[in-house]
Amino acid sequence: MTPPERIVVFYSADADYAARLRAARRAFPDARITAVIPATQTLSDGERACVDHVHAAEPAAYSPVRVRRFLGFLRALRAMRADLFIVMFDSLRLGLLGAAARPRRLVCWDGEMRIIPIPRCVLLVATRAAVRVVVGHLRWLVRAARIYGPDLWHQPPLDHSRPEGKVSPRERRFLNRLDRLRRPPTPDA
Amino acid sequence: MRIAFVDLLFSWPPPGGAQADLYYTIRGIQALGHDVHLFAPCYDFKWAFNAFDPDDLPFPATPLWFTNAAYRPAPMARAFRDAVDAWRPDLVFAGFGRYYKPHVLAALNRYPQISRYYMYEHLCIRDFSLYKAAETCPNDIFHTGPACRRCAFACWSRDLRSGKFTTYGLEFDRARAWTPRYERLFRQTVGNVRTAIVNNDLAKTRIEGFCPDVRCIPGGVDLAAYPPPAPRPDAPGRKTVILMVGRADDPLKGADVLIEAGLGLSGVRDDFEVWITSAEPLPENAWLRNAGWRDHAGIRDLYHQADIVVVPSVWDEPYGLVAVEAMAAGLPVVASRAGGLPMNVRHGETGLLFAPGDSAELALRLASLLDDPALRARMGAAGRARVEAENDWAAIIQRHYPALLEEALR
Repeated sequence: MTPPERIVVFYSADADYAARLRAARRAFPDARITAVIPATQTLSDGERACVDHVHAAEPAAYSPVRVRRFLGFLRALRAMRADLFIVMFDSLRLGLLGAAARPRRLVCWDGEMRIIPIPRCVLLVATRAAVRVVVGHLRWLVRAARIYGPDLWHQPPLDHSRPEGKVSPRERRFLNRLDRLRRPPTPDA
Repeated sequence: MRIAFVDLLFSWPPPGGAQADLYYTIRGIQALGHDVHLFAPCYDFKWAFNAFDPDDLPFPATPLWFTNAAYRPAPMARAFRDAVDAWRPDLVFAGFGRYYKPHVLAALNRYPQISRYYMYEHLCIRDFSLYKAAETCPNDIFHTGPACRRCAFACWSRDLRSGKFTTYGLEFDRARAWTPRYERLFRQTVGNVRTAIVNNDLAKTRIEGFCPDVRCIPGGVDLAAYPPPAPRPDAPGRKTVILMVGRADDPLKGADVLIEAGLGLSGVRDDFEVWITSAEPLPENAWLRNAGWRDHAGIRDLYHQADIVVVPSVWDEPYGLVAVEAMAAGLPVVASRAGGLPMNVRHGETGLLFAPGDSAELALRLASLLDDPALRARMGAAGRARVEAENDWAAIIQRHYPALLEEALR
């Protein structure tokens, strides 16, 4: 995969925006990074040093209720022609906004430092959110039945030990030595 | 002796006390003349890059790489088993880990094991805090297993239903930690270790009888990183700095209690500032400053600028390394009377204690220190002397580990 040349990092409140900007700059030193922030927000000198361009948008433009401003904002996002569009929460709203900006790749860099890919198609984003909730509820029901209901699924103990066939004679000697060490001390000892 | 250290949450620089504790433990045991090697996972699905670089560590370490798909108990257990087997240790020392730790311990059960429990992860499979409904939880997995599994399941239900997992919610689900089988594995792995090391008496008493040997070993500080404190600058008009460090955005750490106490104090005096290291925004107040998230070195800089350190945890803080670090920096500590904190903060000697969550009592304690710079200096000096005597890493290792390692192999 070729490294992205144009990266957009979309600001969200209640998350460490500076950390994402620093990480984006470290990961892609040659890319052109655009920070999309609300006009009420300012970047510190350290944050500004990580980005090449700052796009400050009117907070009102974030809301689809104000149709004209919102469409203007979307047009501005599309004009950025992002190869990589980074949002900070894996939410339906941000997913739809990111997909509507038509980037080549849309990802969430979440608060637990995970990279979560998001589909680039608006319809797929909406479907993914719906499927996730339905599957999640079904999964919860199955588990709830198992934990609150009778224990009908009795399972044997977990075994992560190495299959016997794969143990070499040398390793077997080593394990025998360990077994001797593992024997509990006798009362006389 | 060859000792393999296994930690599922290791990261360097350290994001918390557990990682720093393991780092200094490994260094100390290496200094005793043992062969040591750290095995810890790194994840390629994290945007903040790998959790540690072996070249940054003064001891040999092997990062085990996991993709999101392989971040499951069985592949993880197999990867650790294969890596540790290839190194052929005499002993395994297990550090921090959450839902996958029992799986990894089970995979390494051919070796004598010592297991370090930093929080209450050997008792509580909900969020490892043993803290529920604003008090210490009376249940634990050894005495009330089914109730604990149901409690943990309720805790992670939101993740399950929404399908949007936090890291630990995902671990809970993938480890199938709600099942009786997990409960059996959990009890079996704790029972199988030669020695369990915990931080305080609460953590110790609950598993006595379920584990052959349980010991309380305190954490320490590297005194070389904390030179003897210089006298605090006394410029006219300088405000006294009250500092809270650590993960202040975690509600269990009690930042809101400190802010409430600060609000009370700000009504009657303006000679102080409260600095809090929070990754999230704080309410706007003239006397309140968000010092932002800091790494280890950054926190030491903050200690040099502070006059009083507050540890307002509302839960039973297992150890409270921050209090020990602040004492090493020569600062008086105001801490809640919870968990392991009173073990280090001696009321009236190295600091002051208050009831967890009681902002009024905290305000009173702070006022008494704000009024009396001589008392601050006296407590700071007493704290430093106590850390030099009790919490220097070299001394802790010498006092506890040679005998412990001998006995584990006997």
